[in-house]
Amino acid sequence: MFRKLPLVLAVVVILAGCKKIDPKIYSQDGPQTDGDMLIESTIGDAKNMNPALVDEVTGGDIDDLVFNGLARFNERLEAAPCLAEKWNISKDGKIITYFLRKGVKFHDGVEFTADDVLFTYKVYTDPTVNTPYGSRYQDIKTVEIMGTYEVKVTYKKPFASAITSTFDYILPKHLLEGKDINKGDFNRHPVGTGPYRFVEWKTDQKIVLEANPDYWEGKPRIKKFVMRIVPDQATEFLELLNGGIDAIGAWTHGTLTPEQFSRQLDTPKFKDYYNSYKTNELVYSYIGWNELSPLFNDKKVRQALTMSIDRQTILQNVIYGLGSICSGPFAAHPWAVNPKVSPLPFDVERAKKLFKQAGWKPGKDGILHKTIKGKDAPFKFTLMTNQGNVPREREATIVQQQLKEVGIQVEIQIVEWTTFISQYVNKKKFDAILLGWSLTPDLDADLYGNWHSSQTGEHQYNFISYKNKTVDRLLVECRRTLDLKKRQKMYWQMHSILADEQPYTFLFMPKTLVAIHKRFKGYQIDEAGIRVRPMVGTEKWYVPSTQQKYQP
Amino acid sequence: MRKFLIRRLLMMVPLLLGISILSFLIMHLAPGDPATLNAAMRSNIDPSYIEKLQVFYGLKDPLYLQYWHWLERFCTFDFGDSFRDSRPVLIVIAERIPATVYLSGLSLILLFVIAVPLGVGAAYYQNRFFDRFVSVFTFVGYSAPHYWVALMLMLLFGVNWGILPISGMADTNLDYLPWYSRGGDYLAHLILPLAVTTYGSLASVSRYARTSMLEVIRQDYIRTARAKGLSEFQVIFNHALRNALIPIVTLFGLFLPSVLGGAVIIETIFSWPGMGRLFWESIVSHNYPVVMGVGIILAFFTLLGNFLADIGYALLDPRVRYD
Repeated sequence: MFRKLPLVLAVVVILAGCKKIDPKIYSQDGPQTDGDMLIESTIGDAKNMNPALVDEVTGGDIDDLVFNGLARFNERLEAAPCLAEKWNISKDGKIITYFLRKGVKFHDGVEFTADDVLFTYKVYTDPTVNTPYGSRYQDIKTVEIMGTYEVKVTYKKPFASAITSTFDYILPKHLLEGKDINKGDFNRHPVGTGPYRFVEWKTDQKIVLEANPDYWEGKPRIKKFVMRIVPDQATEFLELLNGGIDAIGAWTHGTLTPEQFSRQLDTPKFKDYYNSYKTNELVYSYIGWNELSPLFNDKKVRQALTMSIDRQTILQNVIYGLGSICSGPFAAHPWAVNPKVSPLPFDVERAKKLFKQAGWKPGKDGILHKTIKGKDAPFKFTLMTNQGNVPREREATIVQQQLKEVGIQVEIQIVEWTTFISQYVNKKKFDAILLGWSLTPDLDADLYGNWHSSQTGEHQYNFISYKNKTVDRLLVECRRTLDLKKRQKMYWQMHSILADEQPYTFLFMPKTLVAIHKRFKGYQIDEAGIRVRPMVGTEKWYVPSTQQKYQP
Repeated sequence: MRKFLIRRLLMMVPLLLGISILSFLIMHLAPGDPATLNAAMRSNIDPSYIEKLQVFYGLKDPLYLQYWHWLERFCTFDFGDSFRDSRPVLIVIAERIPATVYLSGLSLILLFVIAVPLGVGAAYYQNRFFDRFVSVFTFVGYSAPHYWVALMLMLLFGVNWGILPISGMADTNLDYLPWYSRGGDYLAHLILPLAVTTYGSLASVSRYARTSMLEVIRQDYIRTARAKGLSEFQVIFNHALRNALIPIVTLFGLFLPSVLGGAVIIETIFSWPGMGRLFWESIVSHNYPVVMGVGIILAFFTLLGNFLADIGYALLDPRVRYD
């Protein structure tokens, strides 16, 4: 009896608090009233919320709602005005003059001016501040205040992603000047100019934001945003079905698992209450071939390897086909992808021919052999990936089986992440690795880091030691070109070179799998498009008054 | 007795020191470091950031020096700052205590309140239906993975029947609930995690209780008590149970640290902001100051638990004397 008491109590309390809404109503629209609350969840809590210091996803997601930059990305991943109404770029690309929006206020009521822009620059370039983003500002010579609403930034040399990768979050000078940026109170109580302002953070429980009534794009209609910390993905999904959270992957970086998306959505509990979407994310997975290894320094061999791997089967079996095969390092960047390049086909016969041309002949043991430096060598290598990523472990197993068909013996080695990085990747002690890249919308930093021949040192990202003079030249040139149209041409050229040389076997780009409660309206998710960070248009989301669930 | 107590208390100092050295070593023996873990292989982050963090965290010093710095600060009850959010470790830990003690403490009490009578009953009805039933019931709880049991209960009570919340300590909208339903809301959130934690441990405690009771029932003084013509109730509860409880007290002392230590799996599945999750996440993310902090506090409470169990022993059992 004594055990049942709380249960009975709880039932009474919960039933009393319940307001049943017939889900049919969600298919109708209604008056665009303010109110209600959007609850999302994340697996890991934020570490801090100072955009200059944030190095993980959750803090970044919150910052995208709390702060604004001078510019932001539009849905085609091009620079669009934000806190800067417009900007002028000098002919040589070295001087950028920003004209700031007037009357924008920080959440504490203080007006945003050119002082804050200069201060932001000082924070990001202060060597005592633990910012991971300092190098973006390294080409800047001076930042000058030309007036309350005008800032002139002079570069030592032109910097392609100047507009989008610098000043992407503006910090309030009046709150941070003279304070210890690394440890201050601001890191847990951020104040910005964004559509939502910070209310409360209960570590490992929830982060609460509320609509900023003075937001310069208009007062957001959804009154509150809550990010719950739910460390288990299975729990997260049950919470969704139970109404404990309203969306996965709407305003933040969540995703349903491919298993959940393809197997567990076909229930009334889900279909009556939620819409689901597949959106592109700037992520791709690949196998990197170490070009220092005599096995992989021949282009024909790398092409043949790619053609021996049935990427469609991998996509189907590992993530239920919820993604698409890619041909280069661009994921879904609409302007950078060369439409004329398509992935190499899965063609075992052609692959065998290529192996033969490269000198690899089948031996008696069924394995390909070649004489390298006077010695007979079988085609054997180790494919490494990091521990704890089940899809990657599965991908490796499938690759192992498929390469066996053409006479290549693959051993799989799965290693703990930091060991993997420090003992193998940094020291280039690997044959081939299976990994993924998550890219920035701007691409300059990603491409330069991954493919320029100067980036092969410890902790740098051209760990496969790829070297191509044309690519090197293009990368340097791209870095100095602010005109997107000109950059596009060079990226297209790079794309076809990389697709031909196959330094990586590009596998696929997984989709982000989104679920949003049906009562939310006023947003568009283009299934072919990309979710733009920072989220654009959150202030336009609303819940019709008859469908509102919470009265915050 | 007093001499013994003082000696035992003083013994805790070198023990704690040894434990701290061992945990420090083991922690650093694990491959990798927090800076690499944070920042490696992310093309939007400066590669130089890794080194910046290593310097900031003091990881560039030789290991013995790092330990010495830690020990120096520890002597002034300063556990350092968490690598995660640069807040003092003591605050990070203190934040977790209420939620942890609330769940694990209630669970521990509930566990003994249920398991001891079950065990005693099972001993009394040895090899009869009740005994078998208790065995099966408790061992099912012991063998079934917590993870699975929890998810099934969440599915049934939450998603399918809609009578209990699934995870978290309280409703997200708690602040807007009327005051009278807040208590109920907390209780409702407590039920599932409490049930799963308690059920999983019933087997061990009830077995202890059963064994200890079985031993006592066969003693001569129980036969004497029966021969005196005492009622069965008096025999069992006054004579047998009192003696049978002595090992249980030890057990309770040994379970005590778990009240602070929390339970990793339960806390993760139920999104409970407890110590177990903090400890686990800190280990995984190489958050050395927090790992050391939680480790030392747990070690202290383990030693304290043993100490209290010894005292309890002496109080309950007149045969035990520490001289």
